[in-house]
Amino acid sequence: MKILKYLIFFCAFVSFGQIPTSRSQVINRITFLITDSVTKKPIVGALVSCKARLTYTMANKQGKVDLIATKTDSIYIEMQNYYSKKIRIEDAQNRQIQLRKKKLKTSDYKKTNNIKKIKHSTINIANVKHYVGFPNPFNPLPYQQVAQLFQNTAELYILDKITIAQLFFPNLKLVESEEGWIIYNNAHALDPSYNLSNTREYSYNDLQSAIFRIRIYRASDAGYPDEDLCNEEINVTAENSDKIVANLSKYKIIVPKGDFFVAIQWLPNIDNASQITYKTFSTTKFTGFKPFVGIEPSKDKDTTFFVKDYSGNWQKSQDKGKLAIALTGRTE
Amino acid sequence: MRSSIKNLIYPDTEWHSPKWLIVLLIFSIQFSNAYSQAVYKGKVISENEKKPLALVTVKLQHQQRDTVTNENGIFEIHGNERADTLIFSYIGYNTQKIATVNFKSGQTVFLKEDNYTLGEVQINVKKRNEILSEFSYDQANYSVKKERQELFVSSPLPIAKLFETTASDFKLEYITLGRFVQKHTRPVSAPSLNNNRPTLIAIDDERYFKLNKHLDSSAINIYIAAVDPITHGPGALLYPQKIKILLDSYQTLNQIDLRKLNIRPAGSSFFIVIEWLYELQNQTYKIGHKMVVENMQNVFIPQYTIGYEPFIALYPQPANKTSNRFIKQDGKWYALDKPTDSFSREIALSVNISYYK
Repeated sequence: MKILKYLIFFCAFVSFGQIPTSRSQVINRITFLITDSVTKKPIVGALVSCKARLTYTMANKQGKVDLIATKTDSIYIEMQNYYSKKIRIEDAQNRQIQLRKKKLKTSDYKKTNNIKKIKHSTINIANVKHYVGFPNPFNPLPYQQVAQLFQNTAELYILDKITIAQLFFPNLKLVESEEGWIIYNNAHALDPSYNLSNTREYSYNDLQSAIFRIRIYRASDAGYPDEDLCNEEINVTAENSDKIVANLSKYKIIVPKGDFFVAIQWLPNIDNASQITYKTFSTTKFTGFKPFVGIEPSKDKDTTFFVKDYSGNWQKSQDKGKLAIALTGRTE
Repeated sequence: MRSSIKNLIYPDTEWHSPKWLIVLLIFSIQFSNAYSQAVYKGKVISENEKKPLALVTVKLQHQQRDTVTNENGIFEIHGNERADTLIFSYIGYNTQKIATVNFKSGQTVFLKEDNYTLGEVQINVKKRNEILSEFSYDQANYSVKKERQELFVSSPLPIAKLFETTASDFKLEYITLGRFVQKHTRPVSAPSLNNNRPTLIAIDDERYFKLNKHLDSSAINIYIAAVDPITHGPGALLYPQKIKILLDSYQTLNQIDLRKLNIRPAGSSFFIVIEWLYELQNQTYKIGHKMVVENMQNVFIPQYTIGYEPFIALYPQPANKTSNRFIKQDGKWYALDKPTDSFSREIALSVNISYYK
């Protein structure tokens, strides 16, 4: 039965597990338009996932989504500040899906001169040896978000800066030569005997760059991520380093007293795509999306973080450790 | 005492008269002759070994007296001077009879071994050690010249390796595991060229180091199983529990101590089963690249390869010498095919056993 399961996964990935935008050859392609229920304007960047097909994609600039599925499949549409929707494809009229916007809670905050800096957790890069976000043979559909729990004791806490550890291989370059593509270190120049005329050069740093979204949630009574604390989309471009530093001060995110979550949402598009193979599962190839978030070992062996699957459910991850995320903020 | 008795019998007799004295003298001589004691002393020695025999029964046949020799084979028996026979008897030796007339005090008695006694049995308890499927450090440790040369095994399914020995009733002492390790520190750069710039091609180790994120610690489970008589694959476990092993040092040869577990396989062969753990803590990462077509244009995307430590080294060995291997799938063991060519690969796993011979 297990072999059969792997075979199904393999077949599914041969046909659907490729880069989402290179699917034009498949016949039963369905195009949707995702719009705002009030303004009727297209929603750019809405995340559409189909669990039955193990696929997920994002709405483009026209709010359109291409999906390979049958009419009976149900899809899950999610967008920040909108209520998520689960719908069967044949129920969507004229291939249009409308999302209802949430009523935003405006929080007032007064500017005073008493500024206190507060740090939440620190990252020791030397301890970060493992990363999450990879699809694997046991879980081919990776999660759409990961979240780490933080505790805020201050009354009025404003997030300024966020630091995230990511998987990064520095100082590598890719050069096309007579022998094909070769990788070399930035630190060392090429052998002068190589004919470098008419060659192209890529930096591995550029290959590894990624855009992702940061989400801040208030914790529910049950201890799971609940209410979105940020009204705006925070898209961060990962720098060419094993530490991503993002400035959040312009978003003016006010965290209430108590538990809150900082989550990283992967954006499934061609710029973030990467291919994942497993040394021990040689025939299976998966599509994963950068960045791959670092994990720090914790003294408490049961410490874990939260993951959100493509059905929109938050759950505790089975991997032990805490996400290598550090926060800097201030109270006023 | 004696005078007081005479006083009672003959109260009025003059005891100091010479007549009485002579009578008394004659009486006393006769009396002492009748109760004279004889003491027989001697030593009992085995005739073949010339060693003193302890606990030999020495008996005076008619007087019903007996004794045993001490640890030096010496005996002493008291009797009267009547003619008698001394009998010497001991298990495993012929019984010897000597007449007291012929026995001289302090005589050495030789006992002859019984004809039915078994021949000499020598038990030499010498501990011997043997290494099964031995490999050297050089065989397991090699530097990567090309990425295709990564020679190791890391399997999603447990793998069993068969070990065979000519010894019987042996004990497992150590398992030595040859681990494929990425150098922990950056390799030394190749020597500079004339233009003071190092070469690209000569520093494959450096490149390999840059492309990989390896781990120094990893966890693994080991089982030791008997050979199933029907399938010839791994059968019942010789040690009921899994042996959890944490390889926390960055070295090629890892020795696993099994002495306390006291594992003694019944036959002359057994299996060692290695189970990799698919946990985040054992993951390693490697970067590469892949070209995809996007909007009619070639686009490079990174290709990450994920492996699970420990990578157990493989070393070249002729196929006929390579051990039998089995892989477990869906609860059943399947034999892995042996390559037919003369140069096969062997899993760098050896076992130290000890036995008495």
